[in-house]
Amino acid sequence: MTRFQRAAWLVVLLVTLVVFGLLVPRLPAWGEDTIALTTDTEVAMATASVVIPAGWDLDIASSSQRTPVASRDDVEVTTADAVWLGSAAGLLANVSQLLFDGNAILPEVATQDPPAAQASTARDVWRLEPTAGSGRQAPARVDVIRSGQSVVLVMVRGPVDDVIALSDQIDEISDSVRLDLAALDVEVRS
Amino acid sequence: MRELARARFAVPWWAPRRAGWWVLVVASAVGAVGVWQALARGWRDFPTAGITALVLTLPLVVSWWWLLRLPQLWARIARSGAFAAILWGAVVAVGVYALPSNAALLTVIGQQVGIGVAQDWGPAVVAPVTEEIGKALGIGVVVLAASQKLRTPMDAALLGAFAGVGFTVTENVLYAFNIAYLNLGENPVISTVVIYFVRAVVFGAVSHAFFSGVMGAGLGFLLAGAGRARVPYGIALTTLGPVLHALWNSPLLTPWWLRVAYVLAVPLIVWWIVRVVRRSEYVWFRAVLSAPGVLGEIPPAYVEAVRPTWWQRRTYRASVARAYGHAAVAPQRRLEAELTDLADAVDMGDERASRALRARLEARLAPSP
Repeated sequence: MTRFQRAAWLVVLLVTLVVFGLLVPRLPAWGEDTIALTTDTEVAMATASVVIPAGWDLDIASSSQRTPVASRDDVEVTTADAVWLGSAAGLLANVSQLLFDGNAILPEVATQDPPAAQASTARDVWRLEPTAGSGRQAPARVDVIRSGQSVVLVMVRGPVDDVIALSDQIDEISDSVRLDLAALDVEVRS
Repeated sequence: MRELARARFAVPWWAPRRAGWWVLVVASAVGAVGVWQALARGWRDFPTAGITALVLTLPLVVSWWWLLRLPQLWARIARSGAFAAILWGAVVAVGVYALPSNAALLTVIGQQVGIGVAQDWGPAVVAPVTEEIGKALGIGVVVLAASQKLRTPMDAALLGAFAGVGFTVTENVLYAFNIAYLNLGENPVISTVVIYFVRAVVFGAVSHAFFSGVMGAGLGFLLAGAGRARVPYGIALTTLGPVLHALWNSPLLTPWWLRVAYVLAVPLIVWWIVRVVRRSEYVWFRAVLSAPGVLGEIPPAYVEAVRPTWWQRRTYRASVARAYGHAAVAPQRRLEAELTDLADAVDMGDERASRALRARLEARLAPSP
């Protein structure tokens, strides 16, 4: 290998390491972080969608990666889709563990609680709220929406008073969730 | 070819006088931090998924290691060189080139074009650029750290493919955590096994090793190819790797039958590329050994006995076995390996090894005075 070839490889390596490692990650700072919505806007997730009402700000970075995050005042609403094959009680326990470190007030679940594969595709909505033992990072409320195996979590973070003041609009966001996987017929053998 | 004594691109564990070695070490350390930051939350929430992923990584790497030995007919990649390329792919290509840039560029598309476009076309536009460039530079860093030049396009294709294997290793672990989150931790072991089965077996052919091997072959043609076809092949293959990656990530392949057609096309593309690259390896071999004085007293007819492809060698050895008995096959294999080693030693400027190999071959093959 000639000295020129060696120098060329070295320059290309160093330049690209700096460009991709340092410069490109800073490009988003040149644009807006959020879009102020002037109309109700439907945003897709991988297996569901949600409508964010006018007046909210939509985070561009996370929404571009199919996790819509909307904010208004100091309240932030994150919607994320998931798949759950087991019972509703198990679903709520796992969500509580993941988001509240297990310290959430869990709603009552119907005594008839078949696995999702055998459950109807009717829409179930449960709400989880923090207990005094939940960490500071815990959401103020989480709506768990399930239809068949398809699940969407609507996670609300922010000061409790602000969340209560915006609760009608947050309910609207939860109500607008459309679960596209609900019609799938996935059977799991135990 | 296991009889080859010389190995290419051996990277010393300690070579502080080489700039490439420093780039490899420092970039790997930085990349490892980036990868750890990306994986840490998954490890905390789903350690079972992480452990399952690590267990499944071993057979994945062994399979690829074995698969990438098959095309090594004219060159054997040293273990340390292959390991360095895998390390680069696993930590630098992922942690420095892909993870920070992918998220940023998706956001830029969302800002400038629209969130819908970013969601649908972002992975097809962004990942082939950041990830293929990151993996391809694994070729450069190994070449520099080993202080050896590329000899043929196959050298670059193999190093690129090893970098792709490394990339796959880390990406699969990330996918294992992603799928565990998507399942809300319902059964991390099963979800990890399923995602590995889908990615490594069902769609195993459409892998990072494939994309970066194709791009590596293209770079190899541009940097070390011979003949008039060098530039067209170089440009075509260097472009083909990212284009195939983009196509795989694009919504154009949403219908399942198009995905199946794509997967079935991959072995044909690999066969065509290996065929094209083989030809250039043979051209290199003949060109090096045809230089004045290289063969010494070795009759040039023996060079003719080294056939260009694996299949042609098999056929030739069968004819040797028919003519001289099965015992003649081992010396034929040894001849093929020693002449290839001689070509490598000459091309690398390794005078001592060239003299020793030539003397050994002359002692066996040169006609008695």
